[in-house]
Amino acid sequence: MDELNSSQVVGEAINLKKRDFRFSSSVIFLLGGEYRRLTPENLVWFSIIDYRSVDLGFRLNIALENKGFLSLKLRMSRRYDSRTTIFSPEGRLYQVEYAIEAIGNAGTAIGILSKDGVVLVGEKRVTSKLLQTSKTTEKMYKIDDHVACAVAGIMSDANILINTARVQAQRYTYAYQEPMPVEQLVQSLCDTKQGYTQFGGLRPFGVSFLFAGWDKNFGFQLYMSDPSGNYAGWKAAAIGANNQAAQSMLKQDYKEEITREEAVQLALKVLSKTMDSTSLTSEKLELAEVFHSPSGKVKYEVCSPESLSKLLVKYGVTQPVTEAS
Amino acid sequence: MECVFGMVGNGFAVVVADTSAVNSILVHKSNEDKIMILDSHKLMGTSGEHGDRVQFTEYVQKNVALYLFRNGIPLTTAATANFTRNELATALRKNPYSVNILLAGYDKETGPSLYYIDYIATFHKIEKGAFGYGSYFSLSMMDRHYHSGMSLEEAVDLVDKCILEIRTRLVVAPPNFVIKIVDKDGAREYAWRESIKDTGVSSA
Repeated sequence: MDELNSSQVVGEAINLKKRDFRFSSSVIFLLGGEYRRLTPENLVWFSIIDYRSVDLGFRLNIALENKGFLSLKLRMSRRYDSRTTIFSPEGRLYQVEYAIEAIGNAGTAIGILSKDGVVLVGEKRVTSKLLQTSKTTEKMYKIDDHVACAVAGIMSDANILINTARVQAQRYTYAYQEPMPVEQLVQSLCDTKQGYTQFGGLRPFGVSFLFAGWDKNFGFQLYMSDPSGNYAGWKAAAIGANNQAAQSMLKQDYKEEITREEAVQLALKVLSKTMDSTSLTSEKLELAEVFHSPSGKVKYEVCSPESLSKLLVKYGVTQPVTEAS
Repeated sequence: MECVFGMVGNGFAVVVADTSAVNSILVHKSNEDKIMILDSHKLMGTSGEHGDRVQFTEYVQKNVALYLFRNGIPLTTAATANFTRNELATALRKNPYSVNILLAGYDKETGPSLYYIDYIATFHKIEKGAFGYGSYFSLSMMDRHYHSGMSLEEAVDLVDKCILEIRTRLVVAPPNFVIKIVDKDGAREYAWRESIKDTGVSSA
């Protein structure tokens, strides 16, 4: 390999500066590991020995392959990611993007809108025989009699927002003596979330939601919202781990006039494909539906583990339990 | 001496209010419109302190408009009435509004409706109602002649009977009245009943 002079290495460091250093925490992770960078001009192999955060940037100590050692004090775009309330030079809000990243590690949740109801399915990450599953749900929550949601992300953040949504729904009913229209509830919650991306200096919530509900204006509806405070109405949507894969699967298989039963089947099928585990059991899933009872009232029902197991077998998503001899 | 009354008919609701603006013994004007049109299918007949009345009714009107702009769908009559009551109730123990309201509206799903909301946030959904000294006479007339599902002609006839009674029997009866209706075609002014016209200065 050619001898590298210090200007070339500095040039490399400047290239590093232009790169997106948002994985700075993972750079610490790579301590002692290798970091390879290919450019048209030269091939630089170096190892990161040390990484220390200093004012307005960080100090990077690297060992160049067989060439010695270099200590670089770098001012990076990393300075734009420590505060939520400022833009980066590229016009991004890093904290919001990091929040969205955090959700990519959470259990998947899928929502599908059908003509007679909305189906929400979630992958549970915390599975244990000791969990009181009859009392608490991990992914699904009821906001009001006519609205429910599925969450993906940091659970403690989700609890705060769910409580906020519940209060907003009741406040509306207190003033108007009518259930709050679903979109207004979603919009109101998203306005709260947006506040955490613009002022106050607090980090955004690391939660995405799928809201499922019914109101007399637009019937059954499904909305997805993310930490930035954006929301949109969807016919089928996925949040959490592997959500892009799930979303593309949903795009292929979703039909306009899908019934609630078909929607359940589709949701379970898609979830089983995106989940890492080889065998699906009802312990690892939560299924909830928002629909009309025969009397016309809106019902939110979480599927019991027994019926869920039966559904999984019925749709061929899991192996049937072999009879104990 | 302000008189406001109203009733629900077949597919419509009618609200009548006197049009005098009075300060102790002085009559400011006899053509003051006290029935505010909130939106395309709602109206609100009001009586009470002039300042409070204008302030509060405009507040409700603007909130109704804001809801429509924000959400793309209009408030129902029931929701508007409950909102109004809530505002009165919230202000009641601090700085109450001295305003009595008869709120009439037409909704596509539920038809015409009339709400009685008084200054201490009493709230009733009613078929016929009235405020003020005139209520002694108009309620009695309506008790005698009202039946549900009246046509517009019958209802206006009953309104005229009530106005006649008020004019005959109330000592300082207001001279003029305005009648407004709301039905599937919207909220609008129906007629005036004037016994004194505000005349200009007579020329010498």
